[in-house]
Order: sequence, then C-alpha cells, then structure tokens
Amino acid sequence: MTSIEGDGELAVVRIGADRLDAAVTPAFKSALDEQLPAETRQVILDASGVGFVDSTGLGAIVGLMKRLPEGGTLVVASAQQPLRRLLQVTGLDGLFQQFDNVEEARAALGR
Amino acid sequence: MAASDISLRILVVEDDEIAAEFLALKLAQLGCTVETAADGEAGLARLSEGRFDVLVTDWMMPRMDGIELVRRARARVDHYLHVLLLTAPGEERTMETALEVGADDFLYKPITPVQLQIAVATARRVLGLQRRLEDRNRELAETYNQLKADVEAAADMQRSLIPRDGVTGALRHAAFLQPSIDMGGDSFGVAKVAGGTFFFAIDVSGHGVPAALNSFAMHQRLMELATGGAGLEAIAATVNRELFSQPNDSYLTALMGLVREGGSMELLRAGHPPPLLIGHGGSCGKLEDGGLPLGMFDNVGFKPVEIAFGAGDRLVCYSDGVMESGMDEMGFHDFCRASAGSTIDKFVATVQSELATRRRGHAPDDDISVLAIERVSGGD
Repeated sequence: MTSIEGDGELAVVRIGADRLDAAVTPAFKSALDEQLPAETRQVILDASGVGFVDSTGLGAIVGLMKRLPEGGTLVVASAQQPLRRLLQVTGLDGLFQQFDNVEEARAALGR
Repeated sequence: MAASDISLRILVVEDDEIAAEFLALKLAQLGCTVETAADGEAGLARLSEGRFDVLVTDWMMPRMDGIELVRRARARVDHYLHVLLLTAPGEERTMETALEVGADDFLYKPITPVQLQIAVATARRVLGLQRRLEDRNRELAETYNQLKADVEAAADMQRSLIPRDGVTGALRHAAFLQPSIDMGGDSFGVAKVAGGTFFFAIDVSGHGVPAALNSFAMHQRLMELATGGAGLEAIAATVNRELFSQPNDSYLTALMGLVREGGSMELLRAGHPPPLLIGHGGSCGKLEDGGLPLGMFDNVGFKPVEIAFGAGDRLVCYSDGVMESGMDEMGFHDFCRASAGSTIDKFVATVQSELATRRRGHAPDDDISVLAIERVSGGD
C-alpha cells in the first residue's frame, strides 16, 4: 500500500507493492490525490520492492512529476533492474535522478 | 413476483400410501402441484422425467431409502431442487448424513399442517431467490457474450490494419503480434511513401480495449501523416502534440523509419526498445539513439538518426512485452543474432516460438509484437 511522508516541501512516496501495473496504479494515484501535501516541491519515490512496472505504472510516475510545481523535483530511490531498464529505454533516466536508497536521495536534495 | 405467488411443483416419495395421500392433499391445499411415487427408485425415475421444484421424501423405504434417493437426485438433477426429508425427531446421525448428501430441510413425523405451511413458505422464498439469481446470471451471460462478440469484431478490425508478411516498396517484412488479452496497444505498419518506404512499430500505454482503441487511432494517424508526405520528425512532433492534448495519461512508445533509395535509412526512436540491426554480413548491434515516448511532455524535440541499411540488412523491432517472456534484452538479442541466418519469415516464426516456449503456455502479461524488416536486393 502506498505511503506518503510529508516533511515541508519534501515528500517521500513509498510505492509499497511488488508491482506497479494496471491493477495497482489506480490505488497509487488515489493515494497521491488524497495524501500528497499541497506544498510538496520535491518527491523521493521509494521504489524498493517493486519488481515490475508496466506502461500504466510508468505513466503514473510521470504523472507524479507533473503534479509538482514548476521547478519541482522527482527523484527515484531503490529502483530495481526492471524499473531502471524501463527508465533507460524510455529516456526518462535523463529526467529522474536515481539513488540507491532514500537516505542518499535526501542527502542529495540537501535534506 | 412475490414469493407467495411462486407455483411449486412437488414430488412426494413415500411408501406409506396413507401418508403420501395426506401430504399430497395438504400440499395441494397450499397451492402446490403434487405428484407421488411409492419408493426411491420410482421417485428417481420421476425426477429424471419431469422438472420438479421440491422433493419431499421419506427416509425409510424399501429398495432405495431417502438418503440414497437424495444422493442420486443431487448427482442427476442439474437445476435447483429443494429437498425436504421426512424423519423422526432425534435421528441426528441420519440428519447429519442427509445434510451431507444434499438435504435442505427436515419435516418431523407426525407431520402437521403448520410444519408443511412453514416448509412450503421457505421453499417458495428459496426458489424465488434462486430464480432471480438464474435470471440475473442469464442476463450477465447474454451481456458477456455480446461484449465478447464486440471485442472479437474490434480485434478483427485491429488485425486487419496489420500488414501481411511480404514485400512493400524496398522492404521485405514479417511480424507477429500477440495481445495479452483479446486486443492490445501494440501495432505496426509498412507503407510505400514519396520518399521511400515508411515503417513503424508502436506500443500504446495500458492494456485491453482502451489501449487498442488508441492504438487503432494512432496507427491510422501515422499512416495518414507519412503518406501525406510528412517527415519522421514532423510525424513525431504532431503525434506528440495531439496525444499530449488528450485529457488522459495516454502515451506511446514508437519506432519509425524511412528507408530511402540507395543504402540508408532514417530512424526515429521514441521510448521504444532499441531495435537490433543485423547486417547482411553478420554484424549485429542495437540502435540506442532516441528520445522520450510520444504524448508524455509538451514541447520536446524528436530527432531522427541516419543509418546505413543496405541490401540484406535486417532490422528487428520489438515491444517491451518481449522482455516479459523470460528473456532479458541481451538474451533476446543473442537469440536473434543466432537465428538470423534463416529467411525473414522463418526468423520471426522462430522468435515467436522461442518466446512462447519460455512463457510455458502462460498468456503474456503485456502485449508482444515483433516486426522484422529487410531491404530487398535492388529494392527502392
């Protein structure tokens, strides 16, 4: 189940499922609708444990980035190989900086 | 229809003639249509001949007792049958056995008119619910069959867009497409256009009918733009803008190419897996240059690259679903390289067979498509 921890302008969004696909994505998007604080400008997407992401899931990740105000940042932490590969193939690795874990992402964002 | 209005057709199986007549009379007075049989075998024969709503059977009878009758009736009757067993109070082990073989309720001897009234009212309520359930299931089955027929018709339309294996312009091509369900978001096309031979492979986000509808529209749009003279860069920019303006999260990955006269090809990759180029001399490499998927972001550029593509060179385009078949990208490329010696149609058939084998009979989670193209000797 998706969990969101807000800390001022930073939010850590943990996907909390082993797949982000057509079955899981609606709940992921609903959680963002309901729980992502309005003041969020930076998001760390914690993808630990997510072994599969399909086109619907990828669309939701891009959708999360588009929710942020201009100048906002989305970074991905703990992505496993399938997600890393998908980001690389689609060229999105140029838009989402990736980190090995949430702590490294926090440090890079100065938090 | 109110439960009290339900007409019950009841079979009474009782070897005691007087008891059978009493039951038939009282049940008839409650508005039921009643037939009687004198033992289990006769009762089973009647159940096979006519449709009854309720079986009322004695337990102790010669030749076939009530328990055995209920067991056989349950195995034989394929519609809902409400079963009442006549027994004496305190026969708890018999009642347990009767429940196991399929009895619904019990009537305790001596039978009183009130017992029968309650039993008939209960049977009417259960039958009423059962009939409503059957009606609902019938409606659902009809709706499902209609939807399935519609989806199959739409899938046929989608398949009709896919080019048959053969030669178009400068290209010999072969392909296969396997949607994860009846229809999907993958598509491809080949067409002779003013500047050469155009081809594309696309994978629209999502699955099933919504993805297929979008894929159908995108297929038509790409063909329209290409045959209208637009270059790859303009086609990508137009589709990107049009998809981005749609009020949903749809996007597509695409690989497009324009094979020109001579020995070159213009190629544009937008988020699609990098294609594999297998040279006629056996060289092999993937083409990774490319940009973002179409429809995700506004105001992004898409630049084609120029590559050498001479006679006998082969390009293998595939959708991401290939990677869900138990083969990673490197393994897929190695397999393609090892199988490249055969003709293009045999090559695609071999790839299709290998992917199916690796899925071990499981339907794919994602749509799978593979399009292989090869420049024909002397083709333009």
